[in-house]
Amino acid sequence: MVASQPMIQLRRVFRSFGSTQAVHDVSFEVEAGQVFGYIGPNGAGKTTSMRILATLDLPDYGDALIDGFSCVNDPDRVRRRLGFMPDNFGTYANMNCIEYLDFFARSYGILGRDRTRALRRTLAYTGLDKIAEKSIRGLSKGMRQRLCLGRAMIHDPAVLILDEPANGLDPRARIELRQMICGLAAEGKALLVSSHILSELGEMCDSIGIIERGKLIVSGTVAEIKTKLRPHIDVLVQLTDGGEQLSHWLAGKPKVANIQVSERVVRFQFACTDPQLQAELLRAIISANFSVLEYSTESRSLEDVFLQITTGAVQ
Amino acid sequence: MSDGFQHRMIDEPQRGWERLWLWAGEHVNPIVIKEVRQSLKSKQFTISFGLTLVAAVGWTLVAISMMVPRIFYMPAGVPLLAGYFCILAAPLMVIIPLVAFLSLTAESEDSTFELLSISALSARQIVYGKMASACVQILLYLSALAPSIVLTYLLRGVGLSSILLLLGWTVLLSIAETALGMLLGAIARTRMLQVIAAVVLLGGLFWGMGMWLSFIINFGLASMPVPGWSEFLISAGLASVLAAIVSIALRAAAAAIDFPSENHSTPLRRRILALLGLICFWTIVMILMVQEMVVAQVMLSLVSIPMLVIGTLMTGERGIISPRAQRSLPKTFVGRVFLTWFYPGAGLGYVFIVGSFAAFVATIAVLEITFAGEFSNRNGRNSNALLVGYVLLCYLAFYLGINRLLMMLVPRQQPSRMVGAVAMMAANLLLSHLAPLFLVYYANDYREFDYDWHQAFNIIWTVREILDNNSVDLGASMVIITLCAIGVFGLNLLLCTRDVMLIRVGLPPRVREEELAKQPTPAPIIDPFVDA
Repeated sequence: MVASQPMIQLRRVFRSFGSTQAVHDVSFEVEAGQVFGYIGPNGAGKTTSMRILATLDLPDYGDALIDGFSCVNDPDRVRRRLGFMPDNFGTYANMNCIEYLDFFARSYGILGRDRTRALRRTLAYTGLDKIAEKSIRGLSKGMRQRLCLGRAMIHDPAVLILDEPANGLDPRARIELRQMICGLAAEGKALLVSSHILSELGEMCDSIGIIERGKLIVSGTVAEIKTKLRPHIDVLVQLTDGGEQLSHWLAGKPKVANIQVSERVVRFQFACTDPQLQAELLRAIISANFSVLEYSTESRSLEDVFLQITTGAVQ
Repeated sequence: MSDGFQHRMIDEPQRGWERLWLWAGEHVNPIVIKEVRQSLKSKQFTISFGLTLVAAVGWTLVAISMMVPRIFYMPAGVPLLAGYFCILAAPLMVIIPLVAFLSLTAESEDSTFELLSISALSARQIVYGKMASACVQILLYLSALAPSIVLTYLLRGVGLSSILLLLGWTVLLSIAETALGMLLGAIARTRMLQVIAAVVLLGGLFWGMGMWLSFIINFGLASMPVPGWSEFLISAGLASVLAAIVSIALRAAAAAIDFPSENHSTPLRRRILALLGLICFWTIVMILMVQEMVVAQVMLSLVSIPMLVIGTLMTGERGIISPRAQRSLPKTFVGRVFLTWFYPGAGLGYVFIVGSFAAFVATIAVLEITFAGEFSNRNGRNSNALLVGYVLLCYLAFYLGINRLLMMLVPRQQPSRMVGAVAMMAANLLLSHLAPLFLVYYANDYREFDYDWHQAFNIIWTVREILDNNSVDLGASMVIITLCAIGVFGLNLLLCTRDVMLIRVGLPPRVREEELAKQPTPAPIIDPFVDA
């Protein structure tokens, strides 16, 4: 692994199927230890870009790189560094969990004691150790997701690409999956995760990319994107009395706009997302002898950002 | 973690053979382990294996009870063995090839194929692993029938060499059918194609089994109780050609399922050349054995058909030498001139096929010049092998060349280019054969007519005229065919210059860096006279 080199890179990738432009000039990078959330409506081009990165498809133009190796020209080197969990994955009949993982460990050339260790680690990490000998046919959806994640990480890859990993999981399993993903990132792995559950992505991703109709509309950290799309916060101040006075006091201040008064509650927009300045704003209100009962700021959720950016158009 | 699982992972072998067994288990292709594990657990195997055993035991009891008391003083091995071959043929020549086909199609149907593709396993390992698993099943069925087959030898009437030869051929045919089944399974990627392929394969397998069993019963056992050296020689020839075809089928199956940027053309073309070399060798052996140049005519005609089919598929290639393939291009100019034809691309494939067939024709020509006089004097007739070879070469160069030029008009990204190439060739052949026939028929007021230069592109009629020694009408046709073939070949060769001029590209920096990291670092040189 080369320091300072992004672990995942898409460089101006184009991919079309007939007249449908599935991916159009998409570029982004993910560093080691980062979780990148890939968001977009159905048919936006997420899975196509992920399949290109996973060496399952070829771009019409551009290149995808994993740890500096081209997915187009060096797929064998890429595969050794990559764990891919597809949205729709299959399992073999007549096999139990340990046989399934053992087969894939062998497929990655892990032999002898190393394979034993890899199996132990994976089973423990995914919580499958209690049902290691259970037939795959009898597994629940959540357990199958865990098994597939285990398969993707059996060879300890530096990069993990997870396509809708939380799809169909119950709330508890989702929380556990989120913890697993954060744990993998803490180990220094680069993760690319697509999901429809945006609140969860917002919590675990260092950065996100929003794609629609094959085009990457925006990418960056969640905070950066929120700031870029709406460079102010909504502030709510509840006083013991003197709502009108506060609104008059605020009216002359810079960065303040849209003041609304409702008895003792004052709402306004403050053109700043810096938490330090938000604290200073509270200090200034109290210093001006207003009796503050409640002070809260409302930041926008990832859902709001997603809805604002995307049009919902499908192709 | 369950106890069984812990036990399995902690157990360390103590004895030497156990360690050897473990080592072999570690290094065997993982696909073989998976496939054997799955197939031995499957109901299909349990039922078919059980039925085979029951049928063998049942046939033994029925046949022996029917032959009592003759069995005590008359040879009774042949009818019993014929029955065992019938029992063995069902799993070997139908079930195992069909299961191999279904095993590949099920991988894509169950969405497990993608998981295999992104593992470190190569496409070749996947295909060869499945083939090896089929061979394990063949061995299991053989071992189940082995005691019964030994019994037939003890009952007399059939020689050990006959049993071994026919058994060997059954196994070889089973392997060949399995390889073809896997090729079909690899090519048929859509649901509709899979259904069509399954029907075609099943029909073919039953037909093959019927043909083989009728051969065994009518000729193999009845009229060939003790095969001589000529039978073994013919068997060796056919077996080597069949083995080469199996090798091509397996490599082609691997190519069909592999990542597109991989260079599969070179290994495939090497195998095709090896097959042609084998056929050439056995043709020479056969000519020398039977002392007839007619063998050469037959072999040239037979070989030209698969060459036309393979060449047609090659003209459907996308014609791109990927940067990955460019890394292994020949370094020198001479190397490029002789070896570039092994690299991917429709034009290069066309030249490769025409060149290979030309080499085959040239070999036959040398043989004809050397032996024709002697053989014709001995048998009292002349051979037209050289002329047949020359005409077939011209046709191959012309039709494949035209197909390649037409395929250049089809966009490179167009999927199913190979299917398109086959359709285009079929249309070319139909048009060039039927159009002159109808035109001349119309011009002759719908009366019968003889061969003339208008039928120059009619392969079958022209070759028949050559074989009939009707040299009077052939002159003009030969000139037309030769000029057209040279023209089309020259144009295609000219269009190939871009591919031939491509030079080897170096490894990307990241790959070079990794390769360097793999090499051991040299120990630092320490000066003994200087303190560290």
